[in-house]
Amino acid sequence: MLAQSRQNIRTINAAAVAECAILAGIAVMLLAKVASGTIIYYINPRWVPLVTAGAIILLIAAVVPVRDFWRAPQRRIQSGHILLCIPLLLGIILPARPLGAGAFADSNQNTVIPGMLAPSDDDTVKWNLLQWSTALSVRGDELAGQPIDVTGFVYQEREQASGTFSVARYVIICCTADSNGVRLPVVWSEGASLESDQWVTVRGTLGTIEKDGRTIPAILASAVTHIDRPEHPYLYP
Amino acid sequence: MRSQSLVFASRHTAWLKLFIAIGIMLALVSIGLFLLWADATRFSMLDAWTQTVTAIFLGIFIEALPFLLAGVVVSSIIHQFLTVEQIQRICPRSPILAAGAGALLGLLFPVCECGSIPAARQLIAKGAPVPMGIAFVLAAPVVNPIVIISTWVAFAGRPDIVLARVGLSALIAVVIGLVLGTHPHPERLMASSLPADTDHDHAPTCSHDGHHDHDAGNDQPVTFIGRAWSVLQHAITELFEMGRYLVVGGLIAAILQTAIPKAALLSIGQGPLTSVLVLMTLAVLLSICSTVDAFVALSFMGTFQFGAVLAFLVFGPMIDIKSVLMLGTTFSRRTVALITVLSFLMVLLVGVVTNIYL
Repeated sequence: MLAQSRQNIRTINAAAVAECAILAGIAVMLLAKVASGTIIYYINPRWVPLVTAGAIILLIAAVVPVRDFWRAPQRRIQSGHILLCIPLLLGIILPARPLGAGAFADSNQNTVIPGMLAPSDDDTVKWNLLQWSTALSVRGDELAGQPIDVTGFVYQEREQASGTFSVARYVIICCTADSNGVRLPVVWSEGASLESDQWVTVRGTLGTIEKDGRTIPAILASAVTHIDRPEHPYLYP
Repeated sequence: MRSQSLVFASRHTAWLKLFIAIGIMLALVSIGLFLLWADATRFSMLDAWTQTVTAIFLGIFIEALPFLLAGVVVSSIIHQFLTVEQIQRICPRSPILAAGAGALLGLLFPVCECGSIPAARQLIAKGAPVPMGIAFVLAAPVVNPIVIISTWVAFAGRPDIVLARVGLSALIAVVIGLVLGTHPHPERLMASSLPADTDHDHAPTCSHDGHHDHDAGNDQPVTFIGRAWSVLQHAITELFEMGRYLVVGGLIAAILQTAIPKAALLSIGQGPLTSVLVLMTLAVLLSICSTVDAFVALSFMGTFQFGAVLAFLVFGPMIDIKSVLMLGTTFSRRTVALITVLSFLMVLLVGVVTNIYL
C-alpha cells in the first residue's frame, strides 16, 4: 500500500537531476576550456582530442538520467554526486591559470627529465630553457660564451643575489601533476625590480655566477623584454 | 493516514534537498560572478597555493577522465552482454592453471579494483576455484587493456615500466592465489556473510555490487536499444562511484604535492628501502583507481627511485583503504589480513631489490 502510493507520486528524482547536471556541467566546462585554449594549462596538447571525445561522450550520457527525472528514486544523492561537483566548480569558478612562480620551489633546479636527449645541434640561440638545462647537465663546460635567447617567467628566489633573477619554465610530460621546473639565473642590473610571473624574453650569453660558494651557469643578459604569456606556457620533452 | 503523511514527508524532503542543492549552486555561481565583476585582477591575488592545488588537481582529473569513462563503458558492456557463468564454464580446475587464468582474466574483464572485487565475489560464490578468485582480485586492476594503455600513455617512451608493472602484478597475484589456495578448507577463507548465490544480496559496504545484482535480475532488457540504454545507465552509476575516488585521490595528491616541499620528500625518499616504504604508504593513502594512478606515479619519477615508483604502481591497485574494506565483503578478516601482508612484503622486496640492483 505504502510502496504503491509512493510509486504513483510524481516526485522529482534528485539523484537523476544531479547526475544529468553534473555530467553536462563537466562536459561543457571541458569543451569551453578546449574552445578557449586554456585546456593546455592542465594537460599536454597531445591529449586534447582524447579529452574532447570524453567530453562529448559525457554530454551524450547526460541525456540518460533525464528519463528518470519523474520516476520514483531508487537511489538518493550519494557522495559521488557531491564529490564530482568539486572539479566542476573549481573549473568554472576559478579562472584558468597555468602553474607559475607561486608553485615554483627554490629546490626546483634544472631537473633532468627522463627520456630527454640533449640537443645535438649547436645553434644555441634556438634552444629553449629545457634544451639548455639538459645540455648544461651533459656538456656544461663547452657552452660558456654561447649566445642565448630564451623565454620564460620571472622567478624571484627568496635569497636571490642582487642584480639577478631567474627565468623559469615548467616542463609537462602528461599533465600538471608531473610538472618539473627548469630555470637559469640571469644577471641583469634591474633584475630585482622585475615582478615574479612576468613573462620575459632574455637575450645574452652563457656565463657563470658564484652562489653559496659554488660556480653555477647563468645568463649574462644584454636585453630583457617584457612579453605577454605565450599561448603554450609549458615545455614538452 | 500514516502512509499519507509518510508520502508527504518523503515528497517534502526530496524537494527540500533539491532546493538546498540549487541554492548552494546558485550561491557559489553568484559569488564567482560577483568577484569577476568586482575586480578581475583580485583572482591573481588569490593565494598561490590554492591556484597551484587547483591546477594540479584539474590536471589529474582532466587527464584521467577519458580513461575512467572508457573503463566504466567497457565494464558495463561486459556486464550487460556476458554472464559470469559463461566465463566460469571454461575455468580450469588445477590450482596453478586456475590462478594463472585468474591473473589473466582481467584482459577480458577490464575492471579496476572497485569492479574486480564484486566480480570475484560472484565468481567464487558460483563455484570458481579460490586461487582463481584471489589471483583475479589482485591482478585484474593492472592486467587489463585499459590500465595497460593508460600506463603506456603516462610513461610514454618507457615500455619497460609497463612490462614490469603488468608482469609483477600477475606474478604476485598467482603466488598469493596459490599460497592461500593450498588451504585444506578453502571455504573458511571466505567471509561468513558470503552467500551461495549473490543474486539478491545487497552488500552494505558496496553499493556497486548491489547495483550489479539489480541489473542482473529479472528486468533484463531484450532489445538492442534497451540493452545499450542499460549499458549507459550502468556506466553512469559506475562513473559516479569511481569518480569520487578519483576526486578525493586527486585532491589529496595535489595537496600533498604542494604542501610538502620537494626537498622534504627527497630527504625521506632517498634510501633504497625508505623510498619504497614512502611510496607504498602513499599508494594506500591515496586510494587512487588503477585506471589513473599511472599519471600520479609519473609525478614521482623525478623525486623517487625507480623501484619505489614500481612498488607504487604494483601495490596501489592491490591494496588501499577502499579495497581492503571491499575485500572484507568476500573474504574473512584473517584472509584479508594475510592477502595484505603477503602482497606488502612481496612488493617491498621487489622494490628494494630493483632499487639496489638496477
